[in-house]
Amino acid sequence: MATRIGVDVGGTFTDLVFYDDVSGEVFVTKTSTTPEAPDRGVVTATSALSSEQIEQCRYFLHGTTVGINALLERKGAVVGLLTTAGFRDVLEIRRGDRDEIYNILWKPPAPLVPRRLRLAAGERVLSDGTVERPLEEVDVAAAVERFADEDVEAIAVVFMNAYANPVNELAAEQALREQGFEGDISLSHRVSGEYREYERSSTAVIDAYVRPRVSGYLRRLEDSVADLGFGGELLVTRSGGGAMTFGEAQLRPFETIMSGPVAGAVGAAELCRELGIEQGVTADVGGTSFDTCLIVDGAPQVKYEGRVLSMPLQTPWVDVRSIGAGGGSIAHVDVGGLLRAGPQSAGAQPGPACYGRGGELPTATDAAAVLGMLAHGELAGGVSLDFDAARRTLEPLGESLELGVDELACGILTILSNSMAEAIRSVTVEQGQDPRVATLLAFGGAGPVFATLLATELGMERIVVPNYAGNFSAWGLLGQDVARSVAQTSIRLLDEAGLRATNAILDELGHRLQERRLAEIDGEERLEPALDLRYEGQEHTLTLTPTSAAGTVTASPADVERAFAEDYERTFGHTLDEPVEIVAVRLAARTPLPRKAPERVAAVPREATTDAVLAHSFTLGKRVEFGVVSRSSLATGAGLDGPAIVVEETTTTYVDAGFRVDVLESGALALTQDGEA
Amino acid sequence: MGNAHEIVRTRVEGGGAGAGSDADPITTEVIRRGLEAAADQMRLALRRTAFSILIYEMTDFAAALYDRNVRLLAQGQAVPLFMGTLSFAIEASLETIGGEENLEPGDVIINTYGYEIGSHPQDVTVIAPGFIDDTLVGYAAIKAHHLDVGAKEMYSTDTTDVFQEGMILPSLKLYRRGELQEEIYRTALANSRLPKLLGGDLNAQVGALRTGLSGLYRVIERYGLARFEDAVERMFDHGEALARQVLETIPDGTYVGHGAIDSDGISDELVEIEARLEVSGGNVVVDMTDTLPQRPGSINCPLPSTVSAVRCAVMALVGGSDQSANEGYFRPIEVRTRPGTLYHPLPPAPIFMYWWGAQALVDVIHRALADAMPEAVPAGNGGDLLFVQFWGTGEDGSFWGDGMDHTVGHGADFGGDATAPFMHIAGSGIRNTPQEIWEIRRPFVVEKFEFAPDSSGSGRFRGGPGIDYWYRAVEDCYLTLPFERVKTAPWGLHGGADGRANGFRIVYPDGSAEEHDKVTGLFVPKGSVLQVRAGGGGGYGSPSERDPDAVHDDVREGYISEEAARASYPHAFEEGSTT
Repeated sequence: MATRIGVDVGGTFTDLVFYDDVSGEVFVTKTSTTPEAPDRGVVTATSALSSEQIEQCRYFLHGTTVGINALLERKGAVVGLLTTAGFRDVLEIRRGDRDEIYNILWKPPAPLVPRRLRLAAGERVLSDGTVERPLEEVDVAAAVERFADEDVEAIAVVFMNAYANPVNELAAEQALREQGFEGDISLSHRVSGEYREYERSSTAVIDAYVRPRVSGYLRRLEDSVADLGFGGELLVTRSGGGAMTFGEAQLRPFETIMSGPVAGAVGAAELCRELGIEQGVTADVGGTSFDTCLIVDGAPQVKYEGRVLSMPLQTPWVDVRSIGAGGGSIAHVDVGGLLRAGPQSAGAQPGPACYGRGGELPTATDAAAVLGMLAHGELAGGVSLDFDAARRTLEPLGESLELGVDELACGILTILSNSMAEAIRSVTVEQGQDPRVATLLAFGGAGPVFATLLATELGMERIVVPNYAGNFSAWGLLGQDVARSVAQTSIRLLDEAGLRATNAILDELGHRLQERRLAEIDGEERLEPALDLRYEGQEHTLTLTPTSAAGTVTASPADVERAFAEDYERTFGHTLDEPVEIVAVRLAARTPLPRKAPERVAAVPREATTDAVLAHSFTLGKRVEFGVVSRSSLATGAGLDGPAIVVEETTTTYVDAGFRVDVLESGALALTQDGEA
Repeated sequence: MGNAHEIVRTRVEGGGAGAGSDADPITTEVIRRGLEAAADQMRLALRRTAFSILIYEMTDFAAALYDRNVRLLAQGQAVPLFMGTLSFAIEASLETIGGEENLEPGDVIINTYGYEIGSHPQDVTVIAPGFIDDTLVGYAAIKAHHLDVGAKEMYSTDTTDVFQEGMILPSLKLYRRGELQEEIYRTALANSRLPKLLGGDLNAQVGALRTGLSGLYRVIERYGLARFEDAVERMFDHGEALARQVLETIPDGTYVGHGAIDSDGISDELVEIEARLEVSGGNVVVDMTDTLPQRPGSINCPLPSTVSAVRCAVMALVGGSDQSANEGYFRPIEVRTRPGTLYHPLPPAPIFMYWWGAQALVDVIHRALADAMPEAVPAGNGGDLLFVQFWGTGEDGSFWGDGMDHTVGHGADFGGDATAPFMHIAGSGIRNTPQEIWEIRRPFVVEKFEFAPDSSGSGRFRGGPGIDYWYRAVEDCYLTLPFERVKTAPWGLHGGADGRANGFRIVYPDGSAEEHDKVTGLFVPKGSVLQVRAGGGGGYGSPSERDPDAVHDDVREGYISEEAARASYPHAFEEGSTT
């Protein structure tokens, strides 16, 4: 029995999903996010459950934006940075590139640690791990004094080549303590075992910077939830997918930076496993952004460097691509006379004009409303869309382009869906995957509205709209594994000796992961090694998961090389006749939570107007009659042909002509193109 | 200048107010974005499969899609100095092979002739025509810097004709109907000191061409060729309108910018350059006809690179956050040159260091517009990528070669102080090599990678600090330096002071030292320390207008010493000057 709660904190709403493993009961609630103290919103949402429900829960799974908000709002700790002598400015010098390549006036945000708090210590380790100069402890003593004068709360230590030999960083930690520093210390080699001094510096500094805020938040939340009667394990989502205990998150807060946005991808991966979908692509459309992620064999694609506000993080990072296209995207004509949509959004306030909250600019939702795609426009909480307001905001824009309102509205949605389709092409084609054979997983408030447009544009044959599509991110939290990971740069040829050395490193990495294990999670822990490989002489690598047992690679060098060649061929369309190198060794420890039984969605009857509407069909290029059905009225196994509109509490599924809807056993909707349109 | 040649006017045709197609604004926007995405996929494919650090880390390449009339559809975001440069290579290659009727599906042309590709032969250019049902629909083209294509040295500053600069492959078909022409491939590899790298990077280029063409086909097939072509006309009109919107803010008039190149690599003489801009109603003529005759040294800049340097300079002012430029952006720009001069040399004049001629032109154009566009033009910067080419023979007897660029301090601007260093805008997008990677790859220990205090130009807003990069050689090796802006410092604007100039010093194991700017094949004995001094940016506005609190902040942060602060900003040290 593993009853659980998932709480996802978004920009506008805090979503909770409660899942009772015995009865299969699912309870969903939504409250406003409380940005100044997000734990309050979480507690409010949790209080909607009875104390009986809370007490029977084994797991509390959480997606948080506290870490990323500390960075966005620049409200983190006063951090001191101790560097190798001669390398004081690595953090500020960066790599020399501009986010806007042609913009001569572009400037990066100021470094998280100002120059006066970046101090150097005599020490040097070479790239092969040799200690050329031991740590000059007198420099550490001077730094501590300076840091104390400046009220430094946390110290990051980043020494050159510490990934190859951490001895001087460890000596610095000891010296800092001996000199009486009591705050948090982030050592770069603990944060990342990989080379590239700027990226590792940035990661270690972010870790130190967000730590007090993330730790304080998690501690407060832990206490509050305990007060409500929760006695199980608290887990928070990692940027790289999988969850970590609150205890470990307090020690490695940089791993929670992308905690919020990855929940949807993690949930979609679980959905793919349940439905046997080999390749899935998410279309998570909210008010402001469109997020997409490729899922292959039930796992989201992960990369090993993330980026927030031009700052890199060397940590696993679910590869969710985001573009500024959503239900609130504002349409306008640019100075060159072309129609554009997004990236500006009307957001939640004032929102689209048709929400009647004072929005005056035409948005994607207004376009969809005018075209009849949202049926009668009945939203959660008894709100009804103001169709006249939508039309009024679109008219002047249409006149300036000499387009009728319908034509303009179609144009807005076409431009947005094409931008979304390009993003989907990028995430699939870059991995050598063909989007046409993938299943589109549509969720978020506006995902199911755009789903058939995207599938048509991309030639995708199948769409799945999951249960609770509008709250899917919170739902996604429930099915996660508990995971920890570690990596080490170590360059050697892929041969017998190279794999032996790799296995020795994996053994050492396994010990490090054991040391970080703070809580006993029921279930069998799996160790998954992965290797970053490249042809000798290249720089960029592909990450491969070789056959392994108990955290040791059992595949032969020839097997690994063959698998690498196949992956390379799929990704780049050719292979090379060069030796293969191992560049980095990665190890993840995963413990799956007890599997949920397939949920049974209670048919909650809902009053909805189900008269047919005359709505625009993109596949037919004209208005036709669309049947309107309430999702709760669709029984398992039921089916219907488009054109149709399926309405539910938090989203609307627009089923264009040429698509058929079938209700799967779990309650998810499967839309297929029947090719008759 | 006593030159008999006629003035050459280079501009792209078409456009003008109200011209062009009436394709609908929705299809046009969808096609525009589709082409940008396709060009971006080419860029990514090349970076991820390349072997040379110059390509994957420093992104020293251009990847673009053209229509069948060789007009730029979209260019991937790589080196801005290569903006719109590939059209010249395509046109010249077509002429060499006898026109487009001699193209077949699956062909790939390779061209390394500097006067056609616009740059040194290391910038190997490959071109693939795109066909749909045997109809030519456009081109994918990529120019990418290879480490070695067989010049007299891996990298030289002292060539005296193009024949010393690398292997010339004059528009040969590397692939015919999809078949690799082994003889050409073998010949190319046989002429390189690093044949494996050349082969690997060529394969990466050809693979990326295919990626680009499939993106182009997808966009065309979605709408059909006729609608596609119609929308492309409107897309160009749109690009032109975006560029004009900014250019029309420049008051009509003639603007002259002066600058200098330190030397041409043969003599030590300063090479003065002047750009004359005539602006009228958003049309910009960049007149380089009065420039010096072509030089005996290799800073001569072939016409294609002169034109793309002008485009790069303009894009830096009008591009903003836009993803990609197309042919329309270039319509308001005309470039006037006179054959036989520095900015329109004739063969066989040496052109190896064309980049430095082109890069200087970008800054001089900006300098010319500094008064007319005070909000858009920053003060002077380090003005160079401070490229260093190294080579040597490893302990196992194998030959190695590797190069790296360095970031420089940038100029303050209307909006405030310059902060982080960047690559020069001509090489924007290039990233410096992580020192930990450099130490693993090559026999060096990095001793210093740090700001140099007192190196920024003072001003109401101060320039970005310069940087000291020190490398200790742990094995013998050689290097070539083509450093610029060593003799002329990054300039201040509107009363701001100059920043520190670039420089280079080698300190030998015996403690003796030498300064260099341009040098070819300098022997670096084991134990030497190489000290690269990256310049600081110029200041903007008079130092006497600087907020005293900002002066004291800079002292506290260690960007400037108190002594220097007192000298540059005496007002900040008067009693009661700070809050």
